[in-house]
Amino acid sequence: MSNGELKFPWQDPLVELMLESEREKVSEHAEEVETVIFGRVHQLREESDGHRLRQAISDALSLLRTIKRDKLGFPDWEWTKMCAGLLQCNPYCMRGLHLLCMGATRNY
Amino acid sequence: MEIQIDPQKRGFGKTILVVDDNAAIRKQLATAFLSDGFKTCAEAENGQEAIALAEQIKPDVIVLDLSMPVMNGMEAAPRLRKILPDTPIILFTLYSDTLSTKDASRAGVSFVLPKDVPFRTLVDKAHEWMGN
Repeated sequence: MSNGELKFPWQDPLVELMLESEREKVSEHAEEVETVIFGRVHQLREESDGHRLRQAISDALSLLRTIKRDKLGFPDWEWTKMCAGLLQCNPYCMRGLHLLCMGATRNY
Repeated sequence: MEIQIDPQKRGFGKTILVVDDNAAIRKQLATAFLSDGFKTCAEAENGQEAIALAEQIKPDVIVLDLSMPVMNGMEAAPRLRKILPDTPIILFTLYSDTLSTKDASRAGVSFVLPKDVPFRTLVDKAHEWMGN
């Protein structure tokens, strides 16, 4: 959260996600958070405090991305882009075959 | 998922492949496309499953999430493009602002659409890219 405060009720599952350490439950909470965010972004235009909500959603998405990558082992697309871009290799990035990718994924 | 459809609808007889690890989102997308007349909505939970399914069913259009386990959308897109050179691939993501059009295009994505757009816009874009 930007200032450490919870401003919206939908952020509750996000807190549960942050506190969870068991992989299976992290996965469940991550899906729940994503579903809630997906529902909320569709209502953004109707919100009177759209700016605050947009910021909160942006923060939540950033956090969700990090948790999925670090706790659930999701392949991050920055690696995909780096691999295809920096190594000038086959544009059909084969994650795991390149040194850069292997470095990025070695903790899995 | 497959249903009987009014032949007057735009999506009549078409097949869509929806790729998203979130079951609730897949369900909503399936409902949107089947309501538009699509005959079949195949579902995959990640890029790897999508590639296997795409080879089998040869969908008319693919809606692809970006953030997924096993194989994300940016990894899956070029492989799907290789299998289906002419099939529109729409990257439908909450993280559209983290991608450049150039990167997405180079990966084989036809169009990037943020997940906050109405379903109607997504369905319209699918038809636009299918040439309807």
